[in-house]
Parts: sequence; C-alpha cells; structure tokens
Amino acid sequence: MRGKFTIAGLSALLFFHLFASSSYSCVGRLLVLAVGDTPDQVVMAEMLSLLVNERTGTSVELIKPGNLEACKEAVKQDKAQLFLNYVGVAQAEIGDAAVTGNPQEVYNIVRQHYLDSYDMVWLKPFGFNGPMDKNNKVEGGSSIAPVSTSEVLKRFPVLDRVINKLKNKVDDDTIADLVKKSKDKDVKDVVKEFLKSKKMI
Amino acid sequence: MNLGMDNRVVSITGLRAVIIAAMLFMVAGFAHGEALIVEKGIISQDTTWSGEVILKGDVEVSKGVTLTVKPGTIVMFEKIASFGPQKLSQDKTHAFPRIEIIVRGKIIAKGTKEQMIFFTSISPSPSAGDWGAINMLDSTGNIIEYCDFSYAHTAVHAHSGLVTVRNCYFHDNGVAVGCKNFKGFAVKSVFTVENNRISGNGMGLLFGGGSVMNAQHNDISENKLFGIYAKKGGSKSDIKNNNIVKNGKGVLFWGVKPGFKIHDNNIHDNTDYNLSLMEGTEADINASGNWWGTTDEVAIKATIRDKEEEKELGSAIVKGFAQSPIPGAGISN
Repeated sequence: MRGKFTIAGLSALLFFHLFASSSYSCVGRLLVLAVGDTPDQVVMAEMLSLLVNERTGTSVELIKPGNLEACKEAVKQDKAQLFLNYVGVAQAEIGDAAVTGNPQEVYNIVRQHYLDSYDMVWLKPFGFNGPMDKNNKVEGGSSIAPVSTSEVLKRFPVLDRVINKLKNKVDDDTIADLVKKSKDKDVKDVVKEFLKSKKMI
Repeated sequence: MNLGMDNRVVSITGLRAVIIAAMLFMVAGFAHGEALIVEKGIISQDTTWSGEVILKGDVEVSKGVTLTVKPGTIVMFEKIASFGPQKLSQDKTHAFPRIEIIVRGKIIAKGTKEQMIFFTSISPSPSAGDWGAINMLDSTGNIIEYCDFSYAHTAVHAHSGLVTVRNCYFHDNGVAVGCKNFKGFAVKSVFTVENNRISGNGMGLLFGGGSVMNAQHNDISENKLFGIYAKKGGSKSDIKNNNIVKNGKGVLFWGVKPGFKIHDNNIHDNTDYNLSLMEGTEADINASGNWWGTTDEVAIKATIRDKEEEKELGSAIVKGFAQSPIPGAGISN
C-alpha cells in the first residue's frame, strides 16, 4: 500500500490519541499523571505509566505542569489524576504540626492532612528519598509517593492496588542507577527492563 | 433517538426522519474522475458501491437498509478533523473520531480472491487512525469477505452486532477487529472471524462486554501490542486453530471467567508473553491443547504471566500442551 507505516511510534500514540481519551474506546481509559521536573520524577512517572498500562490496559499520559505545586493544582482541578510528591515537601506545607523524627509518623500526618484538606490520598512510598537535583544528588530528601484523589481511586478501582506494588521496590541506589541508565538509553526501555526484572510486567 | 449533526441535535422520528434522511442522503451520483464521491449523510435505501468510492464524511446505513460493496471496489476515506463537522455524531460512546461507516442496517462486502475490496485511507502518507471504522451498531447479518483493511482506527467494530469476517487482510490499523455489547441495544455481539491475515496492526482482536468471538484459522502476527485481548464479558468465546505469533503479547486476558476456550492454536514467539493475565483476572484460564513452540513446560511457563508471577492472578493451565505444531492451524485456504 501507499506510504510507510511507522509502527515504531504507534503504541504510545495509539493508546493516547486513538483509544484512550473517550469512552468509545474498547481498550481502556486515560489517566493523566502530572510530573515534576527532577530526574527521579521522570523515571518514576515512566515506570508508573508502564506498570499501569501493562497491568490494567489504562493508558497513562504524562504532563509537566511545572513545579510540585503546579502538579498538585492539576490534580485538584482534575486536569491530572495523579502526581508524585515528597513527604518532606508536604510536611513543609503543614509546618510545626508535622515535626517529628519518625518518618512513618510524618507520612501518616501528611497523609491525613492531604485527605482532610484536599481529599487527596497518599499511596505507598516507592522506597527512595528525593528530590534529585540536576546533578542527581539528594540533599535532605524524603520519601516519595504517588498522590491521587478519593474520587479518582473510585473511578479507577484497581489503581491503588497496582501502584502499591511498587511499594519499597525502588531504593536510593536503584533510582540512582535507573536515572544514570536513562541518560544513555530511552527511559521507557530502562523502566521496562527494571519492571521485567522484578517480574512486575 | 438523538443524532448529533452539524452542531444540531435532530430528533429522528416518523415522517420527519424520512424527510431529514432524504435531505441528508448525499450519496452523490456525480462523478469525480471515475470515483463516486460520498458526502456525509444517511443511506436510507439499499445501495451498491463499486469501482472507486471516496468518503468525505460519516455515512450511516439506516435500520432495514443494506449497503452492498461489489468485488474490486476501493473505498477510500478522507482524513477529517477529529469529531469535526464531517462527523454525523459527536456521541463519543458510539462514534469514532474520524470517518466511519455506521451500520444500523446491514453491510455485505463480499470480495473474491481475485478481486478483493479495499478499505483504506486516501492520504498520500497514511497512518493508523486516518479513518474510524466500519462500525456496526445493533446490527445483524453483516458479511465481510475478501476485504483488505488498512489505516483504520478499528477496521471492523461493533457495539452489538452479528458479523462474519472471512478471508480478509488487516494491516496498518490501530485495531483490526473489536466488539462488545452496549446496554440498550437488543443485539448481542457474535463475531465469526476466520481465515484472516491480521498482521502489522497496533492490535489484533479485541473483545469483551458480553460479546462472543469465534476466531479460527487466522494468522495473527506481528501486531505491535497484542494479538488477542479478551476482556471481561468475553468468556463465551472460542479461539482455535489460529497462529498467534510474533506479536507484542500473544493473548491478553482481563477479567475473563471460566468457560473461555482457547485451544489448538500455535502460540509462540510473542515478544513479551505468549499469554498474560492482567490485573483482576482471578479465574484460571484453561489453555491446554495449544502448541507453545516447545515441549519444555518450564520454558512454556516462562512465556506466560499468571499466578506464578503474581499471587492474585489466576493460573494459565497449559498441561496437555501439544507436542508439535498444530497441523492445519492458521489460514486454511
């Protein structure tokens, strides 16, 4: 036939633009993930995207609205359904109320604060601390976890179950390694190899 | 029934429907070169297409009406703006973004081995999704034989349709064949899909939602994402005597319950998995009697994602696997 069919670009475009955005779809729905601009966010967003798509058929579109506050705002407005946040960043929002030396306790306080204030739900932390700076260094970091809303989790009933499979699967060394690999290789390939090695996809 | 059209919503009932249908019956008789130019509109009486046909907008075959496509016909779809003015409907529940042939009546597209019928994009640089689908809605008696489909979103699709698809070639589409049922439509989808070559698409066969897919003697290969995706509600389907090879994934399952039949197929050399159970597939899948490219059970299981990888999933039962390739599987004539 005429023309050359570019199969290489098909999979992502197909899911995002042909199948995912509306209910005529016979494949699944679209979930938008707001991504911050640090290397660890980019890697984890790609990992989540692949995991959710592979395990549920739901397509995940990544958007970059700006900083974490912009990501949170996108989720509040349902322009995105998920973003990745750091416990320390959220703790800073609360101020003194969250001051404690116990990371789990801080997580619990932050989690409750987001639920009460924004109807947002913190899922399980991935297991590493961030954010990374442009040199891939972390100073004074805190654990990172996906954050969504109660309403979204009702709309995507298996989402939390799937995402929580990443709980404690990525430690500091692992994320550093993935970020490093993604400099020389497509990050999509890097996270795919990782998830396959963990038998998660 | 409400039909969104040109930003208006027109209530199609009784005499008014006839008048509007007549006004919209723009299957123009005028020639454009040798091609029949078909504008957006409703076909409200039996119609036959032959030669070259160029579709410039959605066409809907009314209930009780038959669209016949003669052997050797080339149907070309213009690539219109997504849900633009050339769409008959903005209803995203049932409509595709670009031009489709909506069949509420019946379509008979029977080519021959020597004179296949082509459904394709008119674009000089075509790509998957240039046009929507042959989209059957609450429709029965559809026959599609010896047709070549390319550059569609979902080449043959039904929300509640009875369809036979035989001896066709699907390539360069988003999805080759897809179906499910839709609440409110009386017809329950049953697809007979046999002796087709389904190769080089984004996805091969996709079904669920109470539909029945009887697929046999097809070559399903080199589809980017998967060969077959059986979704919840597709449990009465029967997949047999197919070659399902070299796809991204061979066969995907989501929410399928016991009763699903998949047997006497050659399923091997799929890139990620030959068979994969997705989240929420808790029932066991009886996949015995297939050839997996080897007689090494450990090697077979290594190409299957099921309970062994994730305890919440059901098991894919491969015991009783074939000891050699299934003779006669794949296209049989």
